[in-house]
Amino acid sequence: MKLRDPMDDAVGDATADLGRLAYDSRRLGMQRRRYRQALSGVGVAATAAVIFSAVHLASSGSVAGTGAVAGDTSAVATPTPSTDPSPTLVAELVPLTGRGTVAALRAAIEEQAQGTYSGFAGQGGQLHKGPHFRATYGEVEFTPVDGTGVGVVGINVQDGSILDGMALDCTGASMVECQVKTLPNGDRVRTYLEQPVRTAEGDGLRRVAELVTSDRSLRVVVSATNGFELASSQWDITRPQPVLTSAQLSQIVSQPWWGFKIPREYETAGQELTPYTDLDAITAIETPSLAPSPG
Amino acid sequence: MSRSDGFEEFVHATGNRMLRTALLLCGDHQQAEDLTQTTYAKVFNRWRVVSRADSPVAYTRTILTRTYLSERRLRRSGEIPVEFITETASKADDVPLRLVLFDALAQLSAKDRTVLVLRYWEDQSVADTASGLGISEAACRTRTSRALARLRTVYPDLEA
Repeated sequence: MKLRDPMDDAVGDATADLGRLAYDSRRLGMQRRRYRQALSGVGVAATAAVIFSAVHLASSGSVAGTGAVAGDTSAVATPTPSTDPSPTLVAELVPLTGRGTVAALRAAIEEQAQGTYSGFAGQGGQLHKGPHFRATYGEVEFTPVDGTGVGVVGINVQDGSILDGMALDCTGASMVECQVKTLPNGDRVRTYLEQPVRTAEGDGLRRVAELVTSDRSLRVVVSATNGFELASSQWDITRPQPVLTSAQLSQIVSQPWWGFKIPREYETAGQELTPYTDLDAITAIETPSLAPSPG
Repeated sequence: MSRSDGFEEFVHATGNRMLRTALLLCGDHQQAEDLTQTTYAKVFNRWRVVSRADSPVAYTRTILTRTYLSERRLRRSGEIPVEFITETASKADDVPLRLVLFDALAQLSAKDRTVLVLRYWEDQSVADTASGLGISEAACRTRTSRALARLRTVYPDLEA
């Protein structure tokens, strides 16, 4: 008996939903591409990234500018990430991961809008931890209760070194409705709408809020879309406007828990997210550098 | 990249074939679908390169197998391949043939299984298989022989 025979019996009739496979592969590929763009610092205004940053425990007067640099065993006073209005509690901080990033993003959205969540994806953590640069990325498909359609909310948490001296201003041609404001603690927040992408079905829109801490050690970028970006010139548009406003995005990036150390409850919540796509499983894998021989 | 770039057509032409290969590697339909999607996501991001390759199919298959092996390392770094197939895998009369094969393949190391799938499902030569996996041809032959010997516990009349 040839081994091919039982193999053929086992899988010969297996078929894929090819249209869905192509669609989902494009989307996953675009997620990975956006993450890489954010890492490279190219197209700060053009990427889907939203950076938020950390550590504004300073605003609560407890731990100034810390989140990004606190030690592994830190226990600090920090606002609770739940909707509990109690001002502070003692939280154990643990290293930020892709899952933790997504869980914290969801918690931040929940404080701004009601809706449903799906399609969790994240990347980052130890694989991207280096002496000079750290970064995580997370995104979630969010459908507001207004019923007008789903959009993608994404976040990048990065070392501020990615800015490389770049000013946080509104001089970029790709930014519309741009505003920059300085928070009481010295952090700066820029909000803008990326230049709309014209399609036959309407405009693909992405609103962005970007926070840079006063010491420029941390950058957090959050974005919200009005559908799914499939490629540079292709969108699946689901609604007229992005799922979150500039004001809501500003609130999200200004939450106190952003940083490379995060309250453990977010990390725990992140482990329970489903369905979750680990983008590290994609980016950590090298694709062939040369075309293999035909076979 | 626009929708007229040929990517969709490529997925439609090759998707079922890749899914079947993935299914033989993973032994689980859900994992195979995930592996296939991840593979095409990578292909999408390198489409300009892939579409110009001598064999886009071979290029894609290489991405698939490398992704499979890498994910196996991440998820099951503590896995220890057994030397011989267990008795439960030989109960061919009691379970569907498909499951018998999957159980038998599951007893192999990920790389040994990949070698068998590439050689006997994809009909690749020893040289191409070794090249795709980054191993020597001698190692490829050794792995093939060892894996076939193990499978003969379930399929005694298996030919080389």
